Amino acid sequence: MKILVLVKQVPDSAAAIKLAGPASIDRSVKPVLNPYDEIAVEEALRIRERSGGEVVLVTLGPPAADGALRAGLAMGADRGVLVTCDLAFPDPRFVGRALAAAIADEGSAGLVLAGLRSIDADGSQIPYRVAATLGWPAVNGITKLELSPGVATVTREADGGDLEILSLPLPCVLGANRGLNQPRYPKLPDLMGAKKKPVRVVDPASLAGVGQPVALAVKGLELPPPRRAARVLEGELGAAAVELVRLLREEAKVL
Amino acid sequence: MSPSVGVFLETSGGKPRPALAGALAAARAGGAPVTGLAYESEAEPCAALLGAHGGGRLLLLPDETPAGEWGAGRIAAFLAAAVKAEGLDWLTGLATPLGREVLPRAAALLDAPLVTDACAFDPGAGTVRQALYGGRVLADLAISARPAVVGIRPNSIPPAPAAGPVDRAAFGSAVVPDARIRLLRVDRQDRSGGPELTEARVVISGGRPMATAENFGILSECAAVLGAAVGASRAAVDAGIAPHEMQVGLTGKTVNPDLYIACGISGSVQHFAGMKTSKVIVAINNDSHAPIWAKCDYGIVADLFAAVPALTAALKSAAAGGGRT
Repeated sequence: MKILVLVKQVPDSAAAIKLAGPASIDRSVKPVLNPYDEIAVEEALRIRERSGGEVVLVTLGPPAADGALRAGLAMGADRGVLVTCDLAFPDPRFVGRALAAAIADEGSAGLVLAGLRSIDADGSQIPYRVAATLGWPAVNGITKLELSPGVATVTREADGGDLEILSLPLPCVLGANRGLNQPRYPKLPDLMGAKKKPVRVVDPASLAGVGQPVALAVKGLELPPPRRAARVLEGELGAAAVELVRLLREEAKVL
Repeated sequence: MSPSVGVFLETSGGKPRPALAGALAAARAGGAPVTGLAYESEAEPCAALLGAHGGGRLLLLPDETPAGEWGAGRIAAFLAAAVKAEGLDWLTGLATPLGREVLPRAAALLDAPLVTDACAFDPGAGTVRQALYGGRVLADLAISARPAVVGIRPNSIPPAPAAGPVDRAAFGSAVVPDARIRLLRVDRQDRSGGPELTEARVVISGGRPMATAENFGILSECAAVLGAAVGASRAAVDAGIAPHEMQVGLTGKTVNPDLYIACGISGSVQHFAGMKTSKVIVAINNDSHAPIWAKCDYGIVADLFAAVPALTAALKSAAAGGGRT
């Protein structure tokens, strides 16, 4: 089966983000593959290892987003597709259309995997938009996946922690949550080998029904204010705890 | 003309989520007519909530989920159908686990713009404030297309109670969930009856030093006194001592309480991504060099196994000793 995995390059979660202007981000922050997408890539690789097929990564972004593809290729994916878009804040409706068109353009996908959400924009929306455009069913946030001919059976965590077991026909779009698997770490030779794997660069304007990239209207960006220094309570523990409760009630007024 | 705003009145155990009060305040801030969207069987508590927060129309979906139909899929289909049938300009709800499922699904059905986790929303001006990069940047967006969908981060918008009339109506248009997705079964998980993590006003979380799942009992005891939800760090979840649904942080849940108590949590950037907007952060940690000391409001440098029971005792005695109720 041909499995397409949607991946995204995101800024390193530990790096400080700086602004480059009133509505732009300093894009020199070290990029990484979105951690939820690593889980999606891992799941695709395991399916291929069990039943054969091909794992193709699809991303949308600037030329540097090639890095996200290489990270997934180093894990073991076969090849990549980079849909070019130089916008810092592309409209998710455009992203969904463009990725869906790239999937249709690839053809014969049996399954599309994605991450539950990206750790930068955190919208949890692209899997649904891609599925809606393709006319396929989608379930996001899966923690277990079983495939039988033509059918995916998935587990997802519902409200309150209950586990819902759902079935849906293939092809479909599934979003991976933590708990689905433990992604592998590429070894050095894998990282070297990933550089030689094929990546096809696609102009979205060449894809049917997509058109030119559309940006979100970002009116302003700001950094959240820093927190003031902590007040550390010292001395005998019982007294410190009593003082903490008093401060939470009388000074912070949160109790 | 004021835009019309639909609000998904999410319930838990038959009661509307308390954080909806903030969502309703945002929805009617510009004098917009509000339409509450709810299940018919929950009309009474939802009408009470709507009536106490400005009033409005209450559109009710008959509770007829056939066997094998997935509830979240039905809600999403209802929300999208209601937006179309009523010509609503905005659809809002809470960025809770259920809201994060049904609002994006409805937005995709409508091909509408979506902000999943907004911390401010002005339907009249068409502006939404959203945290990006795990809360490291706040972005103000202008949204021109209608309809548009906005999930509101619980506790981010203060409630504005005001009595108002409620006009109930049954939703008459067809609601057609994606029948290709079938619910095979639900494995119920036995959970404590505390508040839902994403909307709790107080959260107490434990890190890797909790050591065992059983040890989380000391946090539960403190949480019971506080009316708090119990959370966990990624390190605790990865160690297998807490379930993923309890994880607070970049790859877990985002919480926004008045009070966040971090026990044995070093305070990584990734953990803070999930709780940094908490009004007050308290650290209990025996490592006086942990990064959390630079980012919290109050703290006790001590072993959590001694400090948490001491805090629980102090809370109990404060509650028993009168003080504020």
